[in-house]
Amino acid sequence: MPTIGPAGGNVLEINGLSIELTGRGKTVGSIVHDVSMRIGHREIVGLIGESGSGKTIAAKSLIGLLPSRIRVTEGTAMFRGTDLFTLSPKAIRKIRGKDISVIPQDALHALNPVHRIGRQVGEPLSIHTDRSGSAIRAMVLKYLAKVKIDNPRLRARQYPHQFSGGMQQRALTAMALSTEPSLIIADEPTTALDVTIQAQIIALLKDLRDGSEASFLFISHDLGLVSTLCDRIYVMYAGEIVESAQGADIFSKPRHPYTRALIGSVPRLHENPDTLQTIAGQIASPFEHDSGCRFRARCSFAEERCADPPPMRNHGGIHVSRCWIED
Amino acid sequence: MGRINWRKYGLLIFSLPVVVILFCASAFSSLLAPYDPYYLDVMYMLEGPSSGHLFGTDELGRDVLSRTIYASQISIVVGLIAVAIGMTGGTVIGVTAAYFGGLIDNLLMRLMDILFSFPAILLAVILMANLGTSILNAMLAIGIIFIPGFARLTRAVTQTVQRQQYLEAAICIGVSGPRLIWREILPNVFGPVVVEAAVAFSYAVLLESALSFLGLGAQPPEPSWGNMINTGRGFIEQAPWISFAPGMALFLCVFSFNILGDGLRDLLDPKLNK
Amino acid sequence: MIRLILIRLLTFGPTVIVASMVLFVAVNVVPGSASKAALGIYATPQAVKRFEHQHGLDRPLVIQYIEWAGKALRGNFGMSFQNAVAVGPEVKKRLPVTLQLAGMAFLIAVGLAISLGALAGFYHQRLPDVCITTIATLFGSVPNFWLATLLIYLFSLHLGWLPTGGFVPYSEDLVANLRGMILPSIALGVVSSGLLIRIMRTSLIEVMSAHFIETAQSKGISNFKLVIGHALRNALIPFLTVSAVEFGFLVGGVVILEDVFRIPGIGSLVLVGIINRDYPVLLAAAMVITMIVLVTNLLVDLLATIIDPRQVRARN
Repeated sequence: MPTIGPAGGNVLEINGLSIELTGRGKTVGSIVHDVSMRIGHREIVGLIGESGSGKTIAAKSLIGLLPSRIRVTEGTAMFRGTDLFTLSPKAIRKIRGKDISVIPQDALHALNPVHRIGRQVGEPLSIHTDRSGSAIRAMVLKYLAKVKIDNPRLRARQYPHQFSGGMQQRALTAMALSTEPSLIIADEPTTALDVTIQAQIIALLKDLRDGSEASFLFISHDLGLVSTLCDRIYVMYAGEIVESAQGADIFSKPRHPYTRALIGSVPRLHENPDTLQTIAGQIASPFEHDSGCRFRARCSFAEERCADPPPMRNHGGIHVSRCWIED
Repeated sequence: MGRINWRKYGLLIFSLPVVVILFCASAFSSLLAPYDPYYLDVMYMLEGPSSGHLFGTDELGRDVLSRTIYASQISIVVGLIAVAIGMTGGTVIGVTAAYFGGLIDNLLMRLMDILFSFPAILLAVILMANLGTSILNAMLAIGIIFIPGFARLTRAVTQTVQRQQYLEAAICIGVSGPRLIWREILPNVFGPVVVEAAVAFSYAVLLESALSFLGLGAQPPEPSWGNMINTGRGFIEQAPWISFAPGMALFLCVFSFNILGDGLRDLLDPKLNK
Repeated sequence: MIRLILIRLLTFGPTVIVASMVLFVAVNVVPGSASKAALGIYATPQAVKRFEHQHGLDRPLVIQYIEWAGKALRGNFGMSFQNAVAVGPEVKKRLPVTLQLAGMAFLIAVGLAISLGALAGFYHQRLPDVCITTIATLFGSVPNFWLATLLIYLFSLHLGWLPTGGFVPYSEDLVANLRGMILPSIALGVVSSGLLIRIMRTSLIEVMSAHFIETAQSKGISNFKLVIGHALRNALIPFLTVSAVEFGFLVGGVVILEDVFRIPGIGSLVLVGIINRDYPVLLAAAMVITMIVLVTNLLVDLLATIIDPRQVRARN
């Protein structure tokens, strides 16, 4: 599978990643299949897919946080010259939180209710550096301010339940930034928030990207949300990358039937609100996949040849999609 | 054989034969025991385990194994009756409290809570002192002690049932009163109560033995595990085996019923509200 | 939060009163036996009547209760039927002994529970879990008096390391005191740990599935720090309330084991009262034991309320 993405200077390069569900030693289902991605220096890359597409599992596999019975069966993930999948748990733990950090989803439940915010934000630093308590505290305040939390000194001493949803998300962002990682994985950071707060967080991420050296992997199911944020976007369906392009191109020139359907189903103000386009059917379970196109059951353009594995078509530049249909 | 999940059900499978053996031992003591438990063999007093006496003899020349087997009768019977008393009394109180709700519920449950906070042995010991030390009174005393526990359980389950829709449906079609309780509430109370009964049984056996151990239960020469352990204590230096067999039997009995209770709880789990 | 604390304190009083009533009734259920025990079985009916009148046993139960309760509140537990000695001072002398035994046993139980329970919870459904869970069930099923007998046989008689019983106050000789208390504490504590280990395990398993645990893992934390720093604190809260209930069972066990090890505490005083049908003694000892349980439950309730910082919201 040819790798997709910009040439040279990549922070992360995933090739042919397959992740499977195992039961009693043998494979029972396919969760992620033949995924290849690149994330370049200071890029914000979006990974879009609905629930069950495998996007979160793929991200978790990079830092060794796969649940039991779910294993990487194929592929490599080159990060700074090493294949992450070959590292021992101890070695991964050194990278986790330091070189690759995570902004988790569902901020309220991602925070430990009995620890103060300051302690939780400063924890990656206390784990991975030798800095003194007061030095860490100073850095915590600095990053809390960076994510635009007012009165950081007071806030750091508070508990999670005393923060609003948006503030909790910002605090988690500060936590991810604090160790100045090369890659930040933002796992649906806006999902539990309401729309106005979502916009704020997106704006914050844009600012932060400009002010830091980190690359971002932004995982979401909301294509509209990432339209202005991400440099490049990968669209994922049922464990496979079905399309990848520059952020703007995904919207102006979607190629894959799934991407098109996704864009079509985003309600737009000037359209008739009574006609909400949905994609018929449901995503297939990991146990039901065969080697053909995984979307064909729900695709309005499906043909007979879709039962064979579809090729990656190039549509100019870096824009590729996994489909038989020429368009 | 290979399809059994040993990790999960291994212990349960082990406990079942033990339970069966226990019930058989108490039901068929005269068939299983090699000697008469009261027979005094003056030639072999305080003898250690041998081919003639597998677990040795006690200070009066009686065979320890036989006495242990016969003693199971007391433990099993007391256990069964005490649990029956507790279960019946507790269910009546618990379901009544939940059914009527309001002040009745409040008063009854406060009383149950207070009774529940007494250490069981304390109450048992006091009741036995007053009622007189006999096996019958032991059953009564332990049964009474179990009532609050069953009451709380049945009340909780009844309340859960009351919130279910099928109860509303039954009330809508005119079912009420005793019929409601009998047909709708009680069948659902059954499951959790059975689980609790298994665990309560093992605790009843334990309590009865503790009472006998203190001299407040079955009186010698009648053999009960508790009083055998107590007697054995007096001879622990010269004849440690006197305490061993009854103690081991008691331990295995309690252990098996605890495992049984756990297993039942796991099996009935989806239907139980935790 | 102050409101919650006040409510708990207010319900405590009535609870104690009702408990004392229950005990009073339980002790006095069968009239007449007290006098027979004190005077002997050959006592004449007149002697019995005189005895009962002397001790106010022929009055209505309610009156007896009120008089007893009134005196008890002021620390006067009456006089022993056996030897006309004031009960109060005896109780006072024995209380610290029982508290020490119960305390030591409880520490052993909680120590075992937290360490083994956390291990079992962390290695959920793998070998350490299966082993520890089985051991916990075994521990909880052992009759404490039989375990005590075995321990005495092994450590006192066979190995000769520890005494078979008896008590030396720690003010006199700390080492001897501990040597005498260690076996009964182990017998009590190990049995109680059975349930507690499993409660801790369940609590930890539940906490480990929480979202914030994954967040902590994503920071690259070591497993040890994960359990100790994050999971345990959250798991302890539900554990505390159950351990208070278990403490009740433990205190019950004290009644038996103080007899086995010849320890002069409140537990053995209960038995003394029973054997001699000495009602003032029995009542006083039973009441004190019950109070120990009730007070501990109250304290744990209050502690749990304070510890959980989500209650801090009420303070702000």
